[in-house]
Amino acid sequence: MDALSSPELNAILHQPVRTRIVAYLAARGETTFNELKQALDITDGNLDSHMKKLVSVEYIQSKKQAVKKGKQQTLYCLTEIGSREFENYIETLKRLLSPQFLQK
Amino acid sequence: MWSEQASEQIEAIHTMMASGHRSVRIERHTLILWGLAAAGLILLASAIFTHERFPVAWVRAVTATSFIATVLIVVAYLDIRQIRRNRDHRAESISFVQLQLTKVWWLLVGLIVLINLGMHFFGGGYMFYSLVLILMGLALYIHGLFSKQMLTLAGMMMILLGLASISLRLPFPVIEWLTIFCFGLGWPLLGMTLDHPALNQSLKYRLLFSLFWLSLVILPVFAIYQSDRLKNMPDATPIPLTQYLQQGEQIGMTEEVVTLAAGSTVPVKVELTGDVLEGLNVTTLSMLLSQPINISLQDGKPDGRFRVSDGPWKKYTYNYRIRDISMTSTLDRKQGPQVELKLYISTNN
Repeated sequence: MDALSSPELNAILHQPVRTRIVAYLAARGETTFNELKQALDITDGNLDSHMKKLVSVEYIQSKKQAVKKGKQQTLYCLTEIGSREFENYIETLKRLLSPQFLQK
Repeated sequence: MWSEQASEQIEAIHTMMASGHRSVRIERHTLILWGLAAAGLILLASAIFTHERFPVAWVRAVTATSFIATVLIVVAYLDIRQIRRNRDHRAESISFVQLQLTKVWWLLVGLIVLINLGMHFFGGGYMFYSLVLILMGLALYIHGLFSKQMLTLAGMMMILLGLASISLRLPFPVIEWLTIFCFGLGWPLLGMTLDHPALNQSLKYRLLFSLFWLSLVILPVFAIYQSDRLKNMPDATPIPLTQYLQQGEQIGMTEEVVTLAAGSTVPVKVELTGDVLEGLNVTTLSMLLSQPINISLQDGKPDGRFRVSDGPWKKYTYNYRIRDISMTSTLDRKQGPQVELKLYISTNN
């Protein structure tokens, strides 16, 4: 069975850009849109569409933080659901690569 | 096929998590600004603060250090101002870790300025640029631990360059040029390429870039050194010292080469002063040559080029060094007080 259509794998996370976004946030804690864009080296539009998708399933959330001179910046971070689903996704990937599974 | 996809996803996760842990970001302008300023300072300071312009040692030391410190303070101010502007433009704040790293950076730069001042009074100037390479390499390495992996590699390369320049006993001007190219060319290049995705995702590309970076820094220095060596060979035919002395003053003679034969003696005028010495103590020692030496003269004055026996032509600034200096004092009933000064004259680096 192709992994892309495997019912075991989370379809939201099993997308290269979204996997990288969630992995980056898992390590970084919270970050800005610009920093994410630079880390992933993708366009605003592309990142925005994936972020909307991740926000819609409540894997990530945004919050406003005051910066100097009354300016605000938007920070993104993983939600509990997002963290849990990401851990499950990694476990599934590891299982798919385990010798027992490869022998099947 | 799915196992390949799973492997790729795991690798992508590892890469992004490693990138996420490195929360500090060095701005492109930082490396360009500091790099060009450092290279410019090395070129300017050695041209401005010469023995001829500032004959008094402490005046030269204080003036040069004040000039260097002022330029570096201005650079630090411009750098932090631009960082704040960039962050404001992106509606981001400067993280706590980044502020602490900036302080470490400034401390290391300050340490270099202090070492420079100290070396004016206590010697050791031969090692100065090697120390600059090592300390600023350390600054890059520390920054790289929290930001880009490429910076840690660049820092390690600079530290290795600094250590190699001392252990290989490179001539002082070679180390000076190495430092100039490292900052003037290497740092701006690093600043411009640091955000390239390939350098952040693959160790292979980082190593390849490191090789390219090293060759870009080292090859021009090697080219300058070789070109200087080729320029070293005087055209004049060598004449013995006796003939030179008999000739008297030569008018219109621009280039001459005089041979000091093996076994001949060269007087060394020694001047000693000190806080426990009365006035100027002058004495003349004799230096016995073990090999013939050709000395090049330009307009009647030694121009710094010399050749030992049939070896290659060398330059005073590159190949002449006094090392292993030691001074011991004794007092016994037979000889009374005695001060023994030892030093080694080297022409092999």
